[in-house]
Amino acid sequence: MRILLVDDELELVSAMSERLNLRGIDADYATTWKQALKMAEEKKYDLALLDVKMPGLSGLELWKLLKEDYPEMKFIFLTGHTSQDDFKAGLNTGHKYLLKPISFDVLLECINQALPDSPKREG
Amino acid sequence: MNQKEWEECYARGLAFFGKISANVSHEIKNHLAVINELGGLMQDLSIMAQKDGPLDPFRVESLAGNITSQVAQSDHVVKAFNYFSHSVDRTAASVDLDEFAQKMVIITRRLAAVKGVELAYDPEEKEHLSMITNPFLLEQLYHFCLEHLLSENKSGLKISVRTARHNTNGKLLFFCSEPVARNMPEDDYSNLLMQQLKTRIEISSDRKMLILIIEQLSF
Repeated sequence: MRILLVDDELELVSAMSERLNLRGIDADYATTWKQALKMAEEKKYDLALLDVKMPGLSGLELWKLLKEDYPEMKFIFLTGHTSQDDFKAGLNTGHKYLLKPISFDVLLECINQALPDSPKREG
Repeated sequence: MNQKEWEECYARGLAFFGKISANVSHEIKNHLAVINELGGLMQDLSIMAQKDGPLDPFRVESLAGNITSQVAQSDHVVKAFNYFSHSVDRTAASVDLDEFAQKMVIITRRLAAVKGVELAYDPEEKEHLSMITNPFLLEQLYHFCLEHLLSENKSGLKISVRTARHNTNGKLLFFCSEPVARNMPEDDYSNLLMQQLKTRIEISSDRKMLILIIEQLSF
């Protein structure tokens, strides 16, 4: 399975991708929406983990673009916000919505639920 | 201020306080999220080392250094937020304008970053400038100016905030990397704030600078 992490916090996504890689999940990261679109063009990702609040395009706007071009791609949203509006917007997408700071076990569970048949490489 | 103006001031002030608080809590959550992942990664590496061999001490040092840096950044935000929270304690207080600008930049940096704008405090005056003013109303005016510049939606814009002396008064200067400054839109509340604080706004002819001129309040 291959995952794309998108968040403007470099330290966050680089640590998360390393942790996922240690568990046999191929994870790359992007810190801008432009970089994310370019990477999605170059590689096939099974799932994208998107931060909701990002400079330029929000995670929700990026989700609309990605799901149009890659209808098979699964999504998980990540946010530090707890406002009702943001929460509803996230839920309306029909995808999982995780609040920062996340529990890594919960993240792994969400990934496994979204991609139940996707094989992992040896970690 | 008449009764209606007080009510407006109370409602708008509360909304402003809420907006800043939500923004700061979001920023602190981001730092906590990074610390959480870095700590988790150290734990993962340690578990791996127990099975597969020695742990790279430079890797651990680097991760620990990143955690320390995240803690320091959150501490700056918390200190600035504490300064902001105490600004409602008194309607008139001696305000160090440089400290004011520095703290406001820290707690509003994320508002700018979300729009792709880099906001920085740029200390220039060697002599610190203190003035008697209403700190909470001044914070709202600062925010009006910043939001006004951000409303241009210029991703990649850089704004540096400086202070300067203007006779016996003070100036807050917003230097922009592009000509985005224009006259403030007519708004009853910002007009009320400017009237109460005896401030006025000027725009440089190249539209790269917005200047908030603040008079000393006398009692």
